Amino acid sequence: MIRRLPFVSVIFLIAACSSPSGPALEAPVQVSIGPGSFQMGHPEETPGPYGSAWKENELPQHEVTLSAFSIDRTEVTAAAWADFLALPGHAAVHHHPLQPVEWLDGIPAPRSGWEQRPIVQVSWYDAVAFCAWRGARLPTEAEWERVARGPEDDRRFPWGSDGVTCERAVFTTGASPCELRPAPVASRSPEGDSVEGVADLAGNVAEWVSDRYGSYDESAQEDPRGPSNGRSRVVRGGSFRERGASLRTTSRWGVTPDRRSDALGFRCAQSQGSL
Amino acid sequence: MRRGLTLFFLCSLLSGCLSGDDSCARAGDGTCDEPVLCAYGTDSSDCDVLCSEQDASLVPACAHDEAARARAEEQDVAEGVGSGGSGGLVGTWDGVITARSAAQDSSADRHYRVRVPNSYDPSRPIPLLFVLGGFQVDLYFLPGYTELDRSSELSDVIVVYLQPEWRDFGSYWVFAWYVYESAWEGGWGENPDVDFLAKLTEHLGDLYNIDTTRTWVSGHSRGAAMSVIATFERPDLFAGFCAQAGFVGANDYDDRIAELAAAGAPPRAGYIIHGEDDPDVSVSASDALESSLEAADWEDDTHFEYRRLEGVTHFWQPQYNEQFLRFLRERPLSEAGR
Repeated sequence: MIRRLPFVSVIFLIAACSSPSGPALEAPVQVSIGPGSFQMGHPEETPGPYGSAWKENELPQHEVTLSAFSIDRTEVTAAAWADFLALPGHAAVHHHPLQPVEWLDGIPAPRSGWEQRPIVQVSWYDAVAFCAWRGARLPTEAEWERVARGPEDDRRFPWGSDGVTCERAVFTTGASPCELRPAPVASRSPEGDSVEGVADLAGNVAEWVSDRYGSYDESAQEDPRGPSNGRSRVVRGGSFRERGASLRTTSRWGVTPDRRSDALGFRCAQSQGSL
Repeated sequence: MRRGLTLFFLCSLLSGCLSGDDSCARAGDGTCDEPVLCAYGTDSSDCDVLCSEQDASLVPACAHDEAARARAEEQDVAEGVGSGGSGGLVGTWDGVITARSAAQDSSADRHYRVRVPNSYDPSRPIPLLFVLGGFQVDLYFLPGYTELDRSSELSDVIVVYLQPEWRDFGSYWVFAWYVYESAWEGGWGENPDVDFLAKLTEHLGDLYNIDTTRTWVSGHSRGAAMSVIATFERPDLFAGFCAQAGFVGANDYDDRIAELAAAGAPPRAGYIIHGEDDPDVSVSASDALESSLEAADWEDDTHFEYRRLEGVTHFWQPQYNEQFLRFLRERPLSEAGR
């Protein structure tokens, strides 16, 4: 359980802000999360005979204490990504032919209908570079889980313990998907939002976080940043392709950082001192 | 050498890269001025110092360089050997193929579902993974259960979910793999499911440019037992298996492994996963598989990896999808080994 109730406030950054080292990019709405502790990982240790309520990589549950930070309310959109690609030297490194971006008169633009949908087909390296350009960073795995499960009630899903529906998340229910591609960001708000109003943490696109992938340790940790070795990076949140179990707030898996997919995007975060 | 050339080629295209220079007028002033006052790659000495001292993920120039390096290495992956197919649909489609059944002269229509990643490029050979469910498990349950559609996209692999034959078990009919030798006419080498897998491998190779050095069979429970059988019976086709909650002792296939090893069968690649709390197939079954492989000169970490998972029951473990695919990908068939 939470040790200290965090101070929470929503910051609306509607003006463009300057990155510390480059031209301005429009800053998204961010949500501020105060410092505090929570139990990270899944609490149950006894599965049924065919148990899938948790996976062994979500154990053991352990206490994590985090400093204050802020996190994007939504996933990074294709429109924001196109702005990033337009900057000198970026397209050659960060553009991939499968990204929903096209060139109009030599200028990258989101493919029609994708303006407010999350960017996909980005590697972990691309995501890191985007956030750095914005003067931000990828959220750590612990920060991501803290935001998803809320400050004090250990939510199974960002909205609570009720099951997943197409009104709350963009996912695949039974045999049919809610959507055939990622929906515009925050399309399930406010029904699918976290306690603090962060959108699409469950479903739509899965999200890169900064940590390397590895097993949890049972000891308490402060501002953990993941293992120092290992190739794979952590992906969180599930996507429009996945079923409800993958959308749980503790669900996690590891992916090689150079991989891309049509169901994998990201959002950025900032330490409070860098705001 | 090729890697170096690739890097050089990419760097020549990029405005900034690892082989950058100090051509910017502000270079050497002790401050990394990329990319605002200097273009990427033109203040290299100053930026190299900064990137070595700070968390590279927080510095735009350093993060950009990391991405450029990764992009260059992406172009340098082993290419494999393509089957030559040049077409095929991208996405999900269902098919039927005819293979032999239990009797020597009998046949059965066998159903399957194919998942082809959006990134599929016919000019580059792509690995192929077969997925076999457990006893009584319908193939249409498998994509959600195994979460391998996601892995198809993330790991650049064509995933094919297979339906077992609908079989008469006396008092009832059921989907079941042929894993007990008494169930069909002929020996292990004439297994009906191996025939199904071989025919489908050939068919898909005609459609898609399949990497013939990276074709694998995976399965859960009875399907896992079948994945081991297929790999040992057709080492010319299958480079390895992933067996989750499988077995080799109940059907005496451990004796067959010993027989094949004695005849000189070379090791392939295997990834074994089993929960220690499995109530249906005891973890001792995978312990026995491990022993059989070691007796057949398969070496731990070199040829196979065994994940014995505490607290886990009889369930496919999707969180290992990317790991087992990477393990198998790094162990392709060699032409000489066929």
